Parts: sequence; structure tokens; C-alpha cells
Amino acid sequence: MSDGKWFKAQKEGLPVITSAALVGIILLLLGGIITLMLFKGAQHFWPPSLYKVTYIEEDASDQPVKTIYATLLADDFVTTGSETRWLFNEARLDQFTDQQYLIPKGQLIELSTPESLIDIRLTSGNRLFASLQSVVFDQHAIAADEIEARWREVTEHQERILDLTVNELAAVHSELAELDRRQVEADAPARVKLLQRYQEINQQISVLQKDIDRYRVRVRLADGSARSLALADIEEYRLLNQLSGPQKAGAALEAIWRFVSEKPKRANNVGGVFPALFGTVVMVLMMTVIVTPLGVLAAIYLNEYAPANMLTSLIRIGVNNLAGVPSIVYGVFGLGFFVYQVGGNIDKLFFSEQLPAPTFGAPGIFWAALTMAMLTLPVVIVATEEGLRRVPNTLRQASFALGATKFETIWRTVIPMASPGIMTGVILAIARGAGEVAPLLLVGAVKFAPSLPVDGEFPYLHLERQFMHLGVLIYDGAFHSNNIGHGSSMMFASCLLLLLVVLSLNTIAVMVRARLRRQYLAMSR
Amino acid sequence: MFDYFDLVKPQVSLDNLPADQVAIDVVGLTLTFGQTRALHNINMRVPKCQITSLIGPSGCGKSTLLGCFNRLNDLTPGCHVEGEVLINGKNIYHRRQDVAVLRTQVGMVFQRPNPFPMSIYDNLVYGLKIQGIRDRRTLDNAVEQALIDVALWKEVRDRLFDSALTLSGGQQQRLVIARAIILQPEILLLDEPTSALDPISTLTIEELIYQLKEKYTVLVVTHNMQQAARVSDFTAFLHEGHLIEYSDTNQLFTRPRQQQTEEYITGRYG
Repeated sequence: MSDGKWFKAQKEGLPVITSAALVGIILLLLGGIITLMLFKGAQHFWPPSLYKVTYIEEDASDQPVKTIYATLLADDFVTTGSETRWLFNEARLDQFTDQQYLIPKGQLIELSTPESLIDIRLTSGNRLFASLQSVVFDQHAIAADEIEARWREVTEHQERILDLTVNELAAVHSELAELDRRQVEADAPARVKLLQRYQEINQQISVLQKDIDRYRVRVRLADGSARSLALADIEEYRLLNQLSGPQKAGAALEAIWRFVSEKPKRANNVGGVFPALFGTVVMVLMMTVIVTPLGVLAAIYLNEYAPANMLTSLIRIGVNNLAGVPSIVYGVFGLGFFVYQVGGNIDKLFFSEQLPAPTFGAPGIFWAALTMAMLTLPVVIVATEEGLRRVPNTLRQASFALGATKFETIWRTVIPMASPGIMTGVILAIARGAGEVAPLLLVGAVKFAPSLPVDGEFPYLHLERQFMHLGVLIYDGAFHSNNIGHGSSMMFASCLLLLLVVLSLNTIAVMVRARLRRQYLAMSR
Repeated sequence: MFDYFDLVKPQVSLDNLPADQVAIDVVGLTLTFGQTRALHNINMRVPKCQITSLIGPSGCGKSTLLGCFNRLNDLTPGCHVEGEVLINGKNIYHRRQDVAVLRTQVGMVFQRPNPFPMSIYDNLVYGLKIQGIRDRRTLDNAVEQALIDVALWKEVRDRLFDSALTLSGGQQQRLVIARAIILQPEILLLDEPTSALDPISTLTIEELIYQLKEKYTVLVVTHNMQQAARVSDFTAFLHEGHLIEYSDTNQLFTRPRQQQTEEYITGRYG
């Protein structure tokens, strides 16, 4: 009796346990992805400690004991047998990338964190770990702890110079050019006055520049040699070992801000990712703007107007199958049809004076958005049709009975009521479009684009420009960096950012949908 | 309970109806859906400003006949009509007839209340806005008058901009009647207007229908013979697509001329 009961309980319980266990595994995997991204991505921003590492170099015979200034990337990077190797990262000005050291634990002599160690980033993107000695003003050394005040002074001067050059000097320049154009004589009073002004500004600039040049920073490198850097060349510096907890948090926030607001430097493995973030968002928005009307109109035809026959069913099956076409195929289609055919013909018709240099006949953001729109079109059509089918027929009849034509009925009743379904399609399209990289590599996304697709220059939106994309940046970072530590942490940070972009675009769309749903809450009653 | 059957006697007779008293003149109407014939050679004249009810067993074609008067059947694929339906002397199946205009002249109310998921106000002005009427004051006045006509004004005047779906079933049905009459149609078609409602709401709607005949010609499809007897002046009995008997309600229910009618109203059939 009890055995039978047990068996019955098992019969009920087993399917539940099995299915629940699988859900658990999936949740675990998802949690793993997010944790990994958060952890690895956060590492990119949190300021590390800077170590003075003294160790014995195995192969060098003449001077076996060496010292480097480096950050610790991993204290268990490789373990073979009983030997653990530590991975250090050293930044040296004259190296193109950071230098990495794999040092067996047994060969480490000393590991310390002197307070004078400084992490300097130059405006050129180069980085240096060194020991701060002093700040120099006209050959006179002043205390090292004045670096903060002096650096601020120099930065202010630099901003003033930039302001003078961009605003005042440029204005005088264009006025002079205008005088040239009108062929005003060389000794006309207006011209003389302008030239005077021009000289005055130049004077101001050179005074400021001289002031700036008087400041230098003296540092000592790990091998004991001294170096002197112009304070003006330093974009950012941090005395990493002097930072307190809150200061570190502040530095991390600043690093996050720099990451999302600045351009990449060197081989895309330092600096920010702003152009990629911007390119991704602009491309996805353009794609949404293109795909929504196309998909909705197609769905309306299929659901409202098309006769219920073989052909319509065939079209529907075709649309559903299009959703399964590999994305790279869309990329090839975009390159072959949009870029070469359509773009090439546009160039022939409208930009023939610039040929053979292509304008639209080369990969660009518009072709990328269009290709992605093709890729996401089936999703929008299917979801919209689902939404249209859910609009009760009684409401269509009600509208017809009030003297509305078919178009008026669709426009005033059917579309508003199907809008949650349309939004579902848009959400799916955004999710797919923002994460897709393969086709973009063919139709316009590049490793490095010199200018943004949207700027203050007429016509503001430059459809033909190539753009940077977070996904492409990640691909590039993942496979093309010869640097174990830094590049990959930046890649993780980019992944985290891409996830956030997709999440926030989706959240907006879900909120819009929830609003629409509330509005048409009881429609299916 | 109200018993209109005793109170009111129709003053018009179907047999010698003057031409200006005819609201709808159905001449030789035959309707087919694909291969199926739904209506067979229907001939009937619906008198103006009277209530005419259509009764008959399920599937007899009474709703289909109603749908012919505003051409809502056109929406059903495979629908084909022969014969004529004359409203104001004009055949509404003429190829030049603007169907949208026809439907503003012939309003319709359905079996289940079907307000749009919009505010009460927007529901009412839907038809007017399609007519191109945008003037706020005109719309406001029309809304108020229509709601007074269906005795809903006092109940909803403080929440005109609430969703129409917050109303009860009976209120929703009165709202959709108001939505139809706001266009000032000549004819109002009611397709089993009370079948989805509770008895008290049904009574309210019946009272309303009775008042509507002052301004409109009303046609009611009903499966409820008591209701037909209570509210209508004339009754048509349909069976399998044929118009079996069409006469004064009083006469049809007391002295039916056809045997089929008698069987149906006495409950021996259907």
C-alpha cells in the first residue's frame, strides 16, 4: 500500500523535478554570464595597486635581479606541478603596448607598494608606471605633492588656449578670408585692425604656452633611470597606492565615464568606446525606424487585405522561413545588393563627380541599418500579424457599422489595438538587431571610424559613413589583441556595455508596450 | 411589468402601406454564401417609425436578412446578392451606392456589447469624427443628446473620459446604441440586442427600443418570442431562408395564417 503511494508520488514528482532542474541549470548559466561580465568588466574600472616587483631573471647572467613597476593581473595564472606563475603588467612609455611578465612564485624576491608610484597616461594614449620624484618649474624642483595644483593650472591654461584658438582666432581668420575674397587692399584700416587683433591673440597664446612649458615632472623608472615629462602631455595620472577606498570608487566612476564618453586609443585596447556605443545605438534606432513601418504594412496586407488562398499561405511560410536564414547571408545580400548595386547606381546618378571614389557605393551605416532591417523584418511581421489576429472581429464590425471604410477601420481601431503586438515585434527586432555582428562586418561596421555618423556638420546624419559597433569592437578585442590582460578586460567591459544597451533599449520598448496594454486592457473580453 | 402588447395597437396596416411610409422595400432578395443559399426570394416592406421584429429558429437567416440592410454581409467572403433593397426609393445594392454613407444612415447594434477600448466620449464621437466633424462644441452637444436619448446621461456624465469598458453590460449596450444613433440614422438594426444581458438590463433596453421608434425605424432580430410580442409592432417569421409570414405582431401571435408559424410560436417546432 505504502509502496504504491510512494510510486505514485514518484510519478507525480519526477517530471516536476526533471523540468525544474533544467530550469535551474538554465538560470545558473544565465547568472554565470551576468556574473562573469559584471566581475570581469568591473575589473577594467577598479584602480589596481601598483607593485614594485623585485625578482630573479632566469636567463640573464650578468644582472639576475631585476625590478619592475607593475600591476598584478593574476597570482595563479599558470600552475605547473608545484610551481605557480604570477602575471604582471608593466606600462612603459616607449613600448607600443603594455609589457607582460610571467614570473614563477619562487623567483619573486620582494613585492611592495611604495606610495610614490604613479600611473601616468599621456594624451598620446601611452602609459607609464614610474616613481614620482618631483615637479620642476624652470629647472627648480618643487615638492612632489604639489603636482595636483600644478596639473590643474596647466590644464586650465590648455583649455584657455583651446578656447582662444577655436573661438577667437578662427573668427579673425574667417574675417580675414572674407576681406581677401572681397579683395580689400592690404592697408585698409579694417584689415590692419584685424591683423593687429590676430597678433594679440597669438601673443596671448604663446605666453600661455610658455607658462605651460615651464612645468615638467621628474620620475624614476624601475631600472633606476630618470625621466622628465612635460606636465602638459599628461592627460591623467594617479598615485594608485595613495588612494583610499572612496577615492578608488571615485576613480572607478571616472573610469566608467571615460569608458563611455571617450574615443578609443592605440589599438582600440585603451581609452573609451564612445564611438562604438554611439554607432550601435544609432544603427539600432535607424533599423527600428526602417523595419517597423515595413513590417507593420506587410502584416496588415497579409492579415487584413490578402485573400485566404494558397499564395497567401505560401507567403506566410516564406516569411517564417526568412527568420531562420543565417545572418551572414543577409550580410552578403546587403553587400552585394544594397552596397554594390543600389549604392553603386546612386553614385552613378547623383555623385558622379566624385567617382571613382564611392559615396554610397561603399559600406556605410545606412546600408547596415537596412540590412539589419531585412534581417529583423520577419520577426516584426509575425508578431504584428499575431497582434492583428487578436483584435476581435466584433470591433471591426462595430467600426464598419458606424460608416468607417476599411482603411479607417484599420487605422483607427485595428492598429491601435494591435499596437502591443507591434511593440512585441519591435522588441524582438531590437534584441536581435543590437546583438548581431556578422552581417555588420560586411556592410559598414569597422574597427576604427574617424568620425561619428551623426555630428554638427550639415546634413547632420551622414548615412554613407562607416561606423563603429560594440559587437565588432568585442570581436576585434577578443581575437586581435596580443595582450593578455588589458585588452581582454576592456572586451569584457564592452560586453557588459552591449548587454546594458540591449537591456535599456528593450526596457524602453517593454514600458511602451505595457502602457499600450493597459490602454486596451480588456479588449479580448 | 410593462406590457406594450396590450397598450399599443399599430395604426398602419401592411397591406395598403402608403409609399411615403415605407422605410425599407425588399424586392425579390436572394442571398448566397458561395454555394449555400441563405435567403430565398424575400419580399417585404418595413414601415417607417415602427418596430419590426424578425423571429425564427437558429440558422433561419434572420440575422443575414438584417445584415442586408446595411450591407454588412458584404464583409463575408463569397456573399452574393440578387434582387433589390430600396431605402428611400433607391436600391442600396446599386453599384454606385457608397457603402460607408449607407451605414451612417442605417445604424446597427450587435448581439454582444462591443464598445471600442477607448473612453466613453471617444466611443460616441467615433462615427462623427469619421464624418470629418471636429468642432468640439458640436461633438459635446451630440454626445450629451445621444446619452440622454438612451437614458445613460445621468449615469456617466461625470466619467465621460473613463474607459467604456468600465461600464456594466447593460450600460455598454446602451452606449453602443447611443453610438449608433449619434449619427442620426433613419433606420436602426438591432441584432439580438439583449441576448447577452441579464433580465433587468434586458427590460431597460426593451423600454429604450420602444422609445426609439419615435425617431427611428427599428428592426430587431430576436430569438425570444415574448420579447418580439412585447416590443414590436410587426413581426416577420423566417424559416430556412424563406419569409413564411409577415404581419401585425398581434395577429401573428394570436391568429397565425401559416401552419409553420403556429407550430413555431406554440413551441412545437424550433
